[in-house]
Amino acid sequence: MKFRYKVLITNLILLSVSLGLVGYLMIHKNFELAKETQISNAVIQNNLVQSSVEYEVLQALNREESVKGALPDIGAQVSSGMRAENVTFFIYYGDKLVYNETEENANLKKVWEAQQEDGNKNYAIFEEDGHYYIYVTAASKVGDENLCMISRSDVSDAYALRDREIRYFRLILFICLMIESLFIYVISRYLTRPLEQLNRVAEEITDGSYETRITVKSQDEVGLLAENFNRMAEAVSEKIGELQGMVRKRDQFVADFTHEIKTPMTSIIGYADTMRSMELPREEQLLALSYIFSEGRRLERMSGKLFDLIYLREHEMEKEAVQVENVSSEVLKVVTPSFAAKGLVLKENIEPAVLYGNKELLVTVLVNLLDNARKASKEHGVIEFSGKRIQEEENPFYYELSVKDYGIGMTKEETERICDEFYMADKSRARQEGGAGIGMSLVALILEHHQAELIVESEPKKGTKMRICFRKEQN
Amino acid sequence: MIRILVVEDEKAISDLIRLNLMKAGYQCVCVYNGMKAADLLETENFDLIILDVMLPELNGFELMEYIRPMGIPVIFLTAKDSLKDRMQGLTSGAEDYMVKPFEVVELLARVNIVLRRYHKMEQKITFMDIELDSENQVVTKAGKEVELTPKEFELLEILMRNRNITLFRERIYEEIWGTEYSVESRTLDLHIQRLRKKLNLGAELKTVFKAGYRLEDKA
Repeated sequence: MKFRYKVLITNLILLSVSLGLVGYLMIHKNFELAKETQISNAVIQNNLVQSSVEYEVLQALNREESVKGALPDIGAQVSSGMRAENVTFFIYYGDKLVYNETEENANLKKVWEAQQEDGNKNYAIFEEDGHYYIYVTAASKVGDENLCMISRSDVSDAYALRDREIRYFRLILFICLMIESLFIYVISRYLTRPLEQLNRVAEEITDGSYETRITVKSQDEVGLLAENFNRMAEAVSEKIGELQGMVRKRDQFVADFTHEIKTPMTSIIGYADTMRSMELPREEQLLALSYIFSEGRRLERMSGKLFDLIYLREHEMEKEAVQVENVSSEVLKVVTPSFAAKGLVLKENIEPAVLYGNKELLVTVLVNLLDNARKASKEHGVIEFSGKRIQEEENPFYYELSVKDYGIGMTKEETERICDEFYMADKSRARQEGGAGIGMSLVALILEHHQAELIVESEPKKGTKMRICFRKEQN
Repeated sequence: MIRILVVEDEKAISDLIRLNLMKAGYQCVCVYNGMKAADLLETENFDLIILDVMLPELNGFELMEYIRPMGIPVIFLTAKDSLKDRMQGLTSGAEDYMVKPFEVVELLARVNIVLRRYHKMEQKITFMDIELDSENQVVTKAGKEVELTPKEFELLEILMRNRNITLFRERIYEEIWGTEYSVESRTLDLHIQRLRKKLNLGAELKTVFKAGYRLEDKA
């Protein structure tokens, strides 16, 4: 059942019960009051009848008449002297009804019998043919005989009034409830509308449109809920975006990997196939063989780096205190021959310091960066390799290693992508230099393990500067 | 002479294609980026273009737009093997689409088919007084028709197209019979013998010891 119907029904039940109770009590009280007035009137009437009858009986006794014989006349006399129209009375003398204005009936008898038993002034109300009558009794003694006067007043008015009030109240109650239901329906509709919107949006999100948001702008709990819901949806869509990004990245990795592996494979298979199909002249044989060899080496290099990459992703590496000078001398040993072959000038300036990390991996990082610098540089270019302590107090970094070249540089877009696997800013040139596009992603991964930051500043045709910043807390 | 333009930025693969195309008797020009290919196409004529998709400066699909109005048949040769790429390759007007890693023999076969479709293939190859009409599958010697089985015909065609080159048994066998060569098989030798006999090629169709066969031009 919908929430607004629940609200409607509970409200209706509560309202009708409370209104009904109030109405009942009001009408009942009114009726009681009216009845009391009627009763007291009837009692007064009865008193009047009693005193008049007693007076006349006294007169009759004085005239020494038979009381019994005189009573019908007395009754008629008193009756004619009374102005109240809806009052009749009966007189019993002893156990005989001596005066009656209407027929004796069972109720009268009952009242008289009750009077005989306790002897007090009594009253009782009876319904007769749709009318309500109040019987009031009064008793006196005439000699040894009991004189009993019973007056009967019509109190139907009080009852009729009550019935009218009840009918009227029912009508009012009905109209009130109708109007009330309408209002409650509208109000609950208004109140639950944000909830319905919430519901709709939740469904939409379930169906996959993660960008949907709610536009509820109230300050109450629903508004708060909407706000929280939006925040949750935001978090979910962010997470999903992240996951999708990861999946995309992985797919891209696989696609790139197969692509990268296809080129050397094609060459190796193709040359081998050519060699086994026909007899080639000596120099062509050598060409084919050297391609098979170099492409095979390329595959080997790729798989090696890829292995490092995968291994590093899944393993923690051992770290220890490392002297920067030792790292740099190791690096220089590796890169000097290739630098010399291209006639490059390497300006090295390393401030001694102790870093916390893995020496071999740091060497790998620097060799990669220097290799890239070498590939980017023209012959006889200059490459600066420096390391310095960072002195400023507020700087979160402790030591900075940097490699700067004055070579071809990269565009902003290329700079952002260099750490992607297999990305090569200039593919054909990178291949000529023997690159596979894995070096920088390896660098990024190693630096991540060291919690160090890689900052790349590059401008096309001006050169590139790569800075590695080591954090204070790590060292 | 049929001229083929190879646009491929991988030097190793470019050299591989050139080597094989030249052995098969085509003239071959290699360029390593899209821009150079466009420049070259402005000044020179080619019968066929073998085109890589991922090229520096101007990629293969973009270059295709430029080539299309020229009516030169194109075979795409690429590492991109998704259905989307294949569709794009073929709908862009290329004659064929080959995915790396490819086999050289297959490339040659496809080149052959495309050239034939464009009637650029020399339909008749002659060797001394033997004439081979690949379109009509007819061989004549000194003007007289010689009856050959289809396999013998294929064998003769391969040998004539690769004259003066030693073809290894494995290669010939695989190309004609399409299955892996086994050393015990005498089928190939049998066919060679029959060709020698039917066309009187005893001296020209030489057996290269432990390797294969060579059709030698005496001149």
